[in-house]
Amino acid sequence: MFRFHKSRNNVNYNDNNISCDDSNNISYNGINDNLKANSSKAGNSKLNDTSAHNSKNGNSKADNSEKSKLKLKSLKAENSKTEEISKERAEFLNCIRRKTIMIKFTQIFLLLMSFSLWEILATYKIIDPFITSQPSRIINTIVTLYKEGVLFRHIFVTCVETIIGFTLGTLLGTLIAIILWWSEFISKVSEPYLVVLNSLPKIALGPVFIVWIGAGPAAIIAMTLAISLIVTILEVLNGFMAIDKDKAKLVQAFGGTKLQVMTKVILPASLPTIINALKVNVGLSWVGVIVGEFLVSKAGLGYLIVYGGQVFKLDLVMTSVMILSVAAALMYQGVVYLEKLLIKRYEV
Amino acid sequence: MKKCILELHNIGMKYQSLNGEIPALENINMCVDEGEFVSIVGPSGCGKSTLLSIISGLLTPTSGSVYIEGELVKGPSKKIGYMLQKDHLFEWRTIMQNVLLGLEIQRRVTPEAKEYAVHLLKTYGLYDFRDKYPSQLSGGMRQRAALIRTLVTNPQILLLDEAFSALDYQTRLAVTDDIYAIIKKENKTAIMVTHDIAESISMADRVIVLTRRPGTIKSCHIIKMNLKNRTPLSSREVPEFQTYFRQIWKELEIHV
Repeated sequence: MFRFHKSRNNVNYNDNNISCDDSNNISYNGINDNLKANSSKAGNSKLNDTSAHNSKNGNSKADNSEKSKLKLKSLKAENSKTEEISKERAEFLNCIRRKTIMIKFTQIFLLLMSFSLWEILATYKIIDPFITSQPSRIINTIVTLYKEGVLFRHIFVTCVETIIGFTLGTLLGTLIAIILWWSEFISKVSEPYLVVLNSLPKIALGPVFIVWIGAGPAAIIAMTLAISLIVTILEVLNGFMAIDKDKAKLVQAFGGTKLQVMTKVILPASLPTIINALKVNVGLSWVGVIVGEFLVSKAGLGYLIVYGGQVFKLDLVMTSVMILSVAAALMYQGVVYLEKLLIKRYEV
Repeated sequence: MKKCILELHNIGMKYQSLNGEIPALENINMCVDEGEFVSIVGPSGCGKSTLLSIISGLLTPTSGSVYIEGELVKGPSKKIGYMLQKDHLFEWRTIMQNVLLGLEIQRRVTPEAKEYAVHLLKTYGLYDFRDKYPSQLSGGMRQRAALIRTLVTNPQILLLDEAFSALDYQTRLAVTDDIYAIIKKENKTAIMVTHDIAESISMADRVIVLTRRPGTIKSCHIIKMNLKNRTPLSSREVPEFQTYFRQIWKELEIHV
């Protein structure tokens, strides 16, 4: 940030009012700069480009904040190269940075505070650590589990079940949604069944799966599928239906078949919807897996929770819950990362 | 005598629904010459877009038939390029990939076809943007890319279905000029449907007015402007423009 102070002398006044809250300014400037650079490159052609200038404003207004964040990054990079920056802009960037730091700081502070409070209250027996456990005991439990060599086995079992569950759920759900999109007849026929299955509490099916498939990982995955599949089908199918009919018409006008409409338009256009379904499924699959493990399993975090509860070892329960929340958060972040990789281009 | 490239014989169209039968078009006879720019205007809901869908082969008329160069149209034809209301560039494809969409669907992506696509992109100032995504282009450029996507498959007849109505007014004027120049340069026949009388007069050689539903041809106006190099913008400035406008306005019988 010191760099910005140097350039205060040759201030480059900007007619935008810069305030800390107005993140639109960023995207506005960013887009303009980009387009200027681009159109000067292509400036040779005759047909270039009064229209580009006309609609610039329209484009940049429609920008969402995600995009403006990206622009902010690229702008920062540009600015540090050129070192030409107005005073207001430097203040604005500083202000944004301060806000971000404050938010992060408060988040970490709250976490540390609550854990410390928990630890202190339990140490001085203000709350009963036998019932509430406490952070130091959780750490001890983790170490013990690790020394016994079972820590990673339990985590691994649960994670694998979850990953299989939500991958299968998303794939199967998308496949069934494709079939329903393809055939209006099948879609109409299955509608009441989907409605009933969607409202049925899937946990009620647990014993059925155990009897049918046997008390093992397969039953747990079946449970997970039961919970996430119907939701996926409905969500993805809705996504398919929401795609502009004219896009399909465009492909048909080129002589495209129904299969081409599917592969060229419907599927790629639905990628954001499918990723969204994946996000929802991560959560649902954890529910499915833990419920499944409550019912049948001999290993996994759900098993540890049930076992700990039965023998009144709250340390074990709390430890498992902690590990579970970290694992779930990591998996969710993984999907978010996947989303970033796959659908950079879908922001309109 | 110019060659007649598109013929419509007695086109009639009725939509069926549970609530009854909706006659959309009746007894449409029309002949479009090669290189001609015809625009069709009419009150809203008179079946203008239906007519285009029928010409494109996407919709089979209840009665009558369409001939392109003497051949009966039975389904989507490679001789026809269809431009819809919005540009509908696919945001997950680069401009180049978007432009090649039609060829991909028709399984005609050959080195020559690609070269032609590059040629068109270069001619119309989008070559530098070939690896960009649609969201990085302005509205006018997107419309131009959409036109190139249509031109790459080398259709003889272009159908424009309110192709500019999604743009704001100023952009629209500029894009109209732009697209018109390209259509004339590539020597394409064009049929444009619009509800904008001024736009239809400024671009067309002939304006066809349709009646209220069921749409029939009410009248036909040959547009002649006393201009050397006619463009849509310059057309709007000559005195004849107002005369045509008044005539067509009267015939549309728009009552609020």
